[in-house]
Amino acid sequence: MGLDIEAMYRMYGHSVLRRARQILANDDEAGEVLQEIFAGLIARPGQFDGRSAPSTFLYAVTTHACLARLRDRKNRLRLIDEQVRPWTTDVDRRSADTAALIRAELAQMPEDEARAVVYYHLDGMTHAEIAEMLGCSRRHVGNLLERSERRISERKEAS
Amino acid sequence: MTDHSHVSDLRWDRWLAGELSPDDTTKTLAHAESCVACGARMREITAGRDTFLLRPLEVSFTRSRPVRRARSTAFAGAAAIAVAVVVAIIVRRSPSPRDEGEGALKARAHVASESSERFKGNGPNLLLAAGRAPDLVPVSTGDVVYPGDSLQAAYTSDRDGFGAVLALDGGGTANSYVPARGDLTVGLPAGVDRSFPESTVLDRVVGTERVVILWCQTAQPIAPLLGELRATGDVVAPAGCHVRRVVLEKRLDIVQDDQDNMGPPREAP
Repeated sequence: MGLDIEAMYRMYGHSVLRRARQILANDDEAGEVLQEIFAGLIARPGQFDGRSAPSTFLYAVTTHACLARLRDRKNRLRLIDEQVRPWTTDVDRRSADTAALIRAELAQMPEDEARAVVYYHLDGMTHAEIAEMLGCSRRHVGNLLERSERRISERKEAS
Repeated sequence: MTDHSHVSDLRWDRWLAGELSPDDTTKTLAHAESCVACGARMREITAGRDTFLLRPLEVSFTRSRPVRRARSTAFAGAAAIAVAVVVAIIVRRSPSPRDEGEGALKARAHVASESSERFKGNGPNLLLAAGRAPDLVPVSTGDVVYPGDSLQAAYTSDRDGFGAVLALDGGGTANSYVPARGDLTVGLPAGVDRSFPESTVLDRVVGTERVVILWCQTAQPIAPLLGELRATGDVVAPAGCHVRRVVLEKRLDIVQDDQDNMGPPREAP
């Protein structure tokens, strides 16, 4: 049976858009990521092989698409220079200052570290959930996050 | 930094998508009841999902859509202008001679309508129209329709909501006309005389066609509603919903079928 991408869009599109907004802090770019991901699925439905849950798959591709944008040099400079808004709303547990620092650092982190940081600081995942997303051990997740903490602390001190 | 004793966003997304096991769902919701931050986050993510469903589609799905089906749908997600034109025709046009000749509009007075609760201000006004596209006329219980006719629901509401058009045909099959695909009611932005985003072309199964138009304050899963319609022949309005029922009689149309030169011998209408 073929993949019903329209149904997938209705069910999970909100999650893709919300996370892209949170990572990129830009509504227009988040909309582009949403479009890019689902247009990509229409063109190449085989990229979702059904071995993981759709939510897990879309978390991974959204994170990847957003990190790729953050790595764009122009985008990175904009993010570092601009005053960025908080991740989400007043019910969010995350500090806006820390979020801005993390977002600026994401572009410079290795892929697996950046993904772990997004899942931990942005999505509020546990080490176990991150390990499942990354397909690695919880210990490795701990190492990745420790490394990122050092980067963020150094940047905090520098600023 | 983030407090990881809370429910993660991934878990909330899985819950909304129905991916969590019943046990995990119970634990997650129990936690949200006792944790203010998680309860707020759950409501925030759910509201975000509901708002998203009200947005016009940003992606064209035409590539994966079959060319024609027995119950084909005219997908109008991005066609707000076309939708407005259809509604204008529905509202202004007088019944056609064929409809009047059939006595199709004689039973207009009896329309079952129900709300699960009192709405503040006016509740939504739900309308069903049928006919050969693009000339649709409003129909109500007792009216006659024909295979090949289009069915289009419309609404007037002063608030955003979610809707569906479900039907039980003469063969006892329950169908979701709107949404034709997908698991949830579709977003219906507030407005006057607005169309539901899809219309349906009736197939050749004749007999009583029970149509249920549903408008809800929040998105609802379709499967339980279809199951209820199949089992009981009706849908009781869920909490926060408004239902209009229209019972149509679908007959074979001898004139149209001769023109189309299709199908077996027909009975007279």
